[in-house]
Amino acid sequence: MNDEAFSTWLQAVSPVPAGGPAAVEAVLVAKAGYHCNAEYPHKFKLGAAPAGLSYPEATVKGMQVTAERSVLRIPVVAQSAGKATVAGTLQFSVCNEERCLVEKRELSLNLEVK
Amino acid sequence: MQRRSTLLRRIILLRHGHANDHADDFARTLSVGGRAAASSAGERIASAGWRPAYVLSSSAPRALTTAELAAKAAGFAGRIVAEKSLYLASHTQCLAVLRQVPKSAASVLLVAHNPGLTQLARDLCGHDGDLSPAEFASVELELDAWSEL
Repeated sequence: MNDEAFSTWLQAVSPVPAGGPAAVEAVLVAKAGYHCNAEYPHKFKLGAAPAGLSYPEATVKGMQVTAERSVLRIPVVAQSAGKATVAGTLQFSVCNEERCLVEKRELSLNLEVK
Repeated sequence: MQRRSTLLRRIILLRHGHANDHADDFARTLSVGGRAAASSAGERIASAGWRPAYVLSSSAPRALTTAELAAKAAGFAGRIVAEKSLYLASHTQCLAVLRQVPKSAASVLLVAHNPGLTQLARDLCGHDGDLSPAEFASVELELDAWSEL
């Protein structure tokens, strides 16, 4: 998702093994003139888990925030091999010198579980 | 003949909910009761049929959380703009921020602090007395643009 102030996306961090824990990452990048808001309680609310996946936490907090780029690690557990889509809503904030923007974005990522 | 774009524009002024004590006033967060009252205010705004099209807040956590909870309860799912200049702003500062709301927005929810917000509620909405925590006042004005305020 792109905006004049930020970009957000979900990304895989490593191959997702069937039968074991794994994680995906929600990434927030602040664009020129903006910075990630270190004061804001960023979180990712997961949607319903698709067949073959489960989520240890329905809402994931604890984003690692730096001014330009922030990352939230989202644990997932894959039960079986195949394709699955992780989806949810990232709540986040970026600021410039005058104001902060508080936003929500629906994000999704297609995973291949091996 | 040029067509005027005068609209009835709704302003909702909401004071932040009750907050916990903290040595740093800016950092004060909403109490449990303050969170419930903020959501309740949003529900009452929705019940009145005043779904906000634009949400402005002071950047102080107690105001921003009030704005998030009230906006959600009122059915608003868009961007919340937290202006640093609205922290403990006077009524004239609040008015200056309202004047910058995009013309396309037919209604605005502004979450801020006393005494500035109460003064603005008296001036714009004819509100009697001080705004209590999570209390709101509202008015509908005929304006071409928010800059006319």
